[in-house]
Amino acid sequence: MSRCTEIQELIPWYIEGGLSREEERAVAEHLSGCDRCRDDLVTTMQLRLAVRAVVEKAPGPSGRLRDRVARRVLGRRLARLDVGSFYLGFSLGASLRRRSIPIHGDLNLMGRRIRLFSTARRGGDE
Amino acid sequence: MASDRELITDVANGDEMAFRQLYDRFADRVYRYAYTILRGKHLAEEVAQETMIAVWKGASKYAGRSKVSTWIFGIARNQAYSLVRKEIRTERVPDVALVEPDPAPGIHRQEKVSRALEGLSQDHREVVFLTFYEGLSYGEIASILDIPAGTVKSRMFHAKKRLAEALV
Repeated sequence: MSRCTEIQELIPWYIEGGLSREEERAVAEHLSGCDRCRDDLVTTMQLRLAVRAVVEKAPGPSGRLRDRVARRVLGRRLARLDVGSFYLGFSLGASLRRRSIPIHGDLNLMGRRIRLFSTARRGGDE
Repeated sequence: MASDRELITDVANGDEMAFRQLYDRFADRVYRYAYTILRGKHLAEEVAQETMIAVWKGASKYAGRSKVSTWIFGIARNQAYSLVRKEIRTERVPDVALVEPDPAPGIHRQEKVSRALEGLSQDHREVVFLTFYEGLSYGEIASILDIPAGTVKSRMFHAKKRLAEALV
């Protein structure tokens, strides 16, 4: 394999910043003296931009995906009781899953929810 | 803002809020990755759905040896390829093109690159996606695809050549 091929194989990750320090130095050194690989660098940068634009332009998933995942993972909420405030509180809730109605209790601390207990069996209730 | 690792630890403890955040960070990316492999919107949604459910169920199995994104894309890939095998048996056809034709001259290059992407093999297309869209290193991609790092570099080299022809 020629030195230029070796360098051109690394150029995509040189642009992305995904090389080791030694690889990065080797690519930079080679680029400073090789017109062909500098051209490849420019082409690769153009390609990267074009590919990103193509992927981003494609429509994303539908809103239904979120609902389907939520139903399978979290179940349908049946009831929830909140006591306390945003800073310190307690929640007790029940949801409807395919084969059970798990009950769970959470401690709410500074806006973060910490699960205290749940009667759901992970993977078994979905 | 919680890191991906912190979120996955919380998800392993059954934290639904953490799962919602992880979903927001990854569902769209997983969908686009699956789309790159499968070329079908419904199939890509199926993969995204099953991947996110697998993340919820299997968060406690995440060993922390790789980045969370590498782990999740690995799950997505397995889901996508098991669907591909199913599709080959039932001969379902991909439903829409990646980009609909657009008459604006400013995006002429994108159209050409889009067509060139369509023309690449599945193996080459996913390396291009993981490098240029996800910005993963060749080592991380090798770990997701379970192939040697040299193969990742060589696939990218050849894919790049094919795509570059579209820019001429």
